[in-house]
Amino acid sequence: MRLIVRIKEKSVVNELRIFGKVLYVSELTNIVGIDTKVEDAAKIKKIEGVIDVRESSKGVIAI
Amino acid sequence: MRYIVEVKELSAEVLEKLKKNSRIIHIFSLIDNTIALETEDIERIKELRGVIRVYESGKAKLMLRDALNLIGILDVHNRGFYGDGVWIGVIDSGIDISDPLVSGSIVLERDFTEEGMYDPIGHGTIMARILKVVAPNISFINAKVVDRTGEADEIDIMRAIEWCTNSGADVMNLSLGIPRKCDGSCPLCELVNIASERAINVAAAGNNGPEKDSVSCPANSKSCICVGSMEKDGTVSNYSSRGSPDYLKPDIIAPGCIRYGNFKLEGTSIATPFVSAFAALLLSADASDKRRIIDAILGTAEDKGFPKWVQGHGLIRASKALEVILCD
Repeated sequence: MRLIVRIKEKSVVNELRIFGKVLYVSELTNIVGIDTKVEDAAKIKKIEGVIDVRESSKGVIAI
Repeated sequence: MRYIVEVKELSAEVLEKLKKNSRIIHIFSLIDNTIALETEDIERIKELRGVIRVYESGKAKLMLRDALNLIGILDVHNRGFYGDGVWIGVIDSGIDISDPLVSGSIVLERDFTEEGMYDPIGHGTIMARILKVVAPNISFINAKVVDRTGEADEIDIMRAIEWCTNSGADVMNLSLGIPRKCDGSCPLCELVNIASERAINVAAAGNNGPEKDSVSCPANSKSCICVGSMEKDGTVSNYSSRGSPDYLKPDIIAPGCIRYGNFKLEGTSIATPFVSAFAALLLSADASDKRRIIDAILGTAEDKGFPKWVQGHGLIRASKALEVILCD
């Protein structure tokens, strides 16, 4: 599953790498996209420095 | 040249005869006995036994003149502003590089879907065409996030917004959205807020109206221009997503219904590039302050008499906004 993780600081990214493939580390804000297993989502939420976690949604064209 | 050929009965024998004199492009499944083919000798095809009718394949054209007149774009063109030097990030399904209207204007492109740099559904190409008709001298940053299923992953949308921002986009066109309730604080909206410090972000309100609080993300972002759709009669389209009395989105409305050849296209998708390209026209008049451009767009809109959470500031008025930009 793909998760969008809001973090306090970029040092948390290394810890996130343990739980899956980091797809995106924002240069503009403290947000990370990660591809991980469903069972690891709960573990990611508990990492110190993780503010919140949400599943990546699907966008649709507006026509 | 390409033709559509109707035959009395599509037998193996007829097909074999057609193949000898042409290249078969497609055998239609929804209409009986009809084939699309390419040939340089259509007279020979017409003479074949069993061929009933032959039509030359037409070219679908965007019919935007009414919409351009309605919002005053032609006045801006007549004053010599065409979007020169402005880069628009098109975050969509890609842009078809075989389309001569738009292909020569792509300065950068990147595929975030991992399915290749082509437009599988045509949506991004149509958005690019509308942008190009409204602002003929713009350039495109082509960011493909919508795949062949018509969907885009939220992380890919965020990556594309950031890539376009870092690549120097002046305006970003997002004719897509994630339908959900959001007060503008989700990570996607937060990112757009930050990206808006460098580029003008324009996003479709969504087609989930007339329910209240039905605006999609990232159009919910406070710094993003959220675009709703207006009908030809001046009313807000029923499908156009609404905010609520406590949540004043969309920001503006634009024409959301156009003709493309024989097809009618409608949606807040269509309305969005009118506003993005309009912003590009104003930036080509004065690129010194993007916030001023947004204020001019919103401040000169025509009040159509609907609540703010339905119409925003109202219908865009290009010539009025240009006057503000040039007079200040």
